[in-house]
Amino acid sequence: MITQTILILSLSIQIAVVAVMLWLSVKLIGESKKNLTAVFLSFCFAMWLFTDLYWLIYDLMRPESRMPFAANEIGEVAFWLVVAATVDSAIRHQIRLPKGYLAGACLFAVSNAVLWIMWSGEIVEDVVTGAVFVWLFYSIVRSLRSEQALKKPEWIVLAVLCAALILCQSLTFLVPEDVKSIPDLCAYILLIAGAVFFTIQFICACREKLVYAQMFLSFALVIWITTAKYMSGGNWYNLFLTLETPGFVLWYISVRKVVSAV
Amino acid sequence: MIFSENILICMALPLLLTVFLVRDNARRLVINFIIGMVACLLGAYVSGFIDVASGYGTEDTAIFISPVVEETMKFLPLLFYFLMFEPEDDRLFTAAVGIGAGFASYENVCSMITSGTESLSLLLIRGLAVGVMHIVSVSVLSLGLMIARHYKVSGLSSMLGALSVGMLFHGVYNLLASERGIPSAIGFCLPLITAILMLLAYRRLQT
Repeated sequence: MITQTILILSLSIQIAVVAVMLWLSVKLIGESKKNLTAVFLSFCFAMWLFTDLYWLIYDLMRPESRMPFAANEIGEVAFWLVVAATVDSAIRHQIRLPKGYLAGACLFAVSNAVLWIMWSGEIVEDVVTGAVFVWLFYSIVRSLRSEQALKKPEWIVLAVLCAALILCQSLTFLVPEDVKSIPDLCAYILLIAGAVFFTIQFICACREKLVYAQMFLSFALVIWITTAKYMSGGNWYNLFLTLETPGFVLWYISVRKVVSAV
Repeated sequence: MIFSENILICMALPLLLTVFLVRDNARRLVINFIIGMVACLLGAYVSGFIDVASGYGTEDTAIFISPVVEETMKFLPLLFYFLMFEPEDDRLFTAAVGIGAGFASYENVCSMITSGTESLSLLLIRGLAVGVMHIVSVSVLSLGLMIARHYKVSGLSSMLGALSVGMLFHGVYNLLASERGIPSAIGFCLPLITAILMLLAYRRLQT
């Protein structure tokens, strides 16, 4: 009951914040001629606002039942596609991603999709979302590489973090029930560590006044938090849902800096 | 049980005759109005099939599946027009509004015949809410197509994005309207509020 109340509260706050961000990003479109990123950002916020609204209304009207396939699932998939388009639209230096990075991004997305299928059993939805996540992770890694937002040791740390996370999540299916909480807790610690990692990188980029790196890192941070949300349940889910909201504010602030800088 | 095909024929015939008597924008609007009505009927067929095939139940299909099907049915003729004729923005918008208005009108007529025509106030509320909802959602679809053309990048993303915004908006309306009392009151107000906000945003962008 408390978990449900926190969920509804977090969701309501997120809706209010995203509505304000949507209004501000629409205003941003008129402020610059090179406004494609702002157009896509407005689209992203509009989609997320309606997805959240749909979910909140459903939760309030039918709290006991599991939501069937509905428009919000298509909305979420389209949202990630448009997020990838937003990131792509802001890339200044078109680069070819080295095979190692490409393989890493694809592997992480596919592993996530496999884990979702094992948790929920919704094969079609999870395969479609997984395919979109492959594209999204590819776009994010390419954008970060194009701006040199992470140094080589930081890429290694990120790769180790992702590998350890997938390993811990997989172990929760393999180990006996009485020790399941150990890999589960480790996975949550790694998810928090990932969020902290991207936050630190974002702060560093802010200090160095690297506006494009800031923007791509803010997108990477929110995508990490949402990936963490999809991997979590109960209060952990609520925690990542709550963390998502300031992430959306960071999106707007960093896109505004990029649009103003053009 | 109603014979929706017969209703469509009766409604479409005078409009079809009108097509030969009017020109330019008026003709385009009438043609798109008819297309909107046909899209509504085809959408009902698809929803009916999904209802039977998936076992969702009539009510759940109407609430959860219909927004997806109906928005897709409205989007397809618009996409065809956009890709085949490469119309200017105002023509695309006219086509979108025509499709939306035709869709809403036909749906309203079928709904009235099914549920009765005693209460004028209820019919007015429903007529206005559904009418504005379909026009707003189809306007969003045309906006996505315009963005895809103007920026010449990520066409698929902007089209799918616009389609999903339309579906979500329609889905939120259906979900709210499905429960009597405050939720349905909010649901009936939602299209009008969204239309006003969209107008405000449009004016803001123009200045």
